[in-house]
Amino acid sequence: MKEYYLFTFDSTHYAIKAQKLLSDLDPVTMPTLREISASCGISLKVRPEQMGAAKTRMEEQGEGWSLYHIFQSGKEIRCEWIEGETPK
Amino acid sequence: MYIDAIGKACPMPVILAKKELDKGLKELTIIVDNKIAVENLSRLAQTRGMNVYVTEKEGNYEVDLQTSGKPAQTETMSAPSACTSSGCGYAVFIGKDVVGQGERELGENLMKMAIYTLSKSDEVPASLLFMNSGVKLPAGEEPQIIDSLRELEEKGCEILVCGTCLNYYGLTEKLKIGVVSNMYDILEKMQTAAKVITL
Repeated sequence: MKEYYLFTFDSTHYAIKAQKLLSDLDPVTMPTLREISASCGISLKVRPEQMGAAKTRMEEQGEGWSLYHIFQSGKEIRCEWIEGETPK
Repeated sequence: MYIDAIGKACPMPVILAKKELDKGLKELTIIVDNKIAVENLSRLAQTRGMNVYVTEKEGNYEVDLQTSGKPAQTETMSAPSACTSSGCGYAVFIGKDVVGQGERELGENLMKMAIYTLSKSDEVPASLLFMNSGVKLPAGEEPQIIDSLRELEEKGCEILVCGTCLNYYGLTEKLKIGVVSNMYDILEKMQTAAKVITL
């Protein structure tokens, strides 16, 4: 079972802004999971050990974000909503 | 047969060697002045089932190609690859460092996500072919792209990077992943794939 945290965004511009904000934490830029939203979107994947720092920074300076805890086992993906608005 | 290809840039040494081998020559020595030419000639030998011996002499390389009696190498795709009457697997051609046209910032992110998604796919491409500014991706400084390309390679995807393009952009020494290749091999991968996707 792999796990990671995923920031999703209300707009692509918020995602790109967050990418710069978190750049030193090396987030992985990936498409928003189908399980979370069917629309096209940029998400930032963060390793569990980086989550605390990433969340603090996003709370201080980020905009329009939501946070999910993702559990992946093979093809099976479970998303737990943690914070923010659920994407439409 | 002895060919002097010193001072000749890629892909000339391969063209010269290929021309002679096509005549049915069983043994050939070609002298070149750069490692990329040595790699390209070695691959040419491999595809023809020939042995290759390289000797370094005063900064140049003497490459001996000899018929080994082994059968010529057929496609060595280890990636999952569906075959149709037109070929096996799929190739992805990346001719620029962004996806589509428009704002560069968005295009760069789309490329990053496309390569990431490919690397996580159950059916990875048989080959990833980089040309023109696309070569800036495997020779660039973006760790996510390099990690995704490494994952693709581990899953059996062959990564070919245009040597002419690396040379043009002054990136030959900076290539982090993939094999320096030439127009012949890149087009051959397209021709033998069941389909080619251009990003």
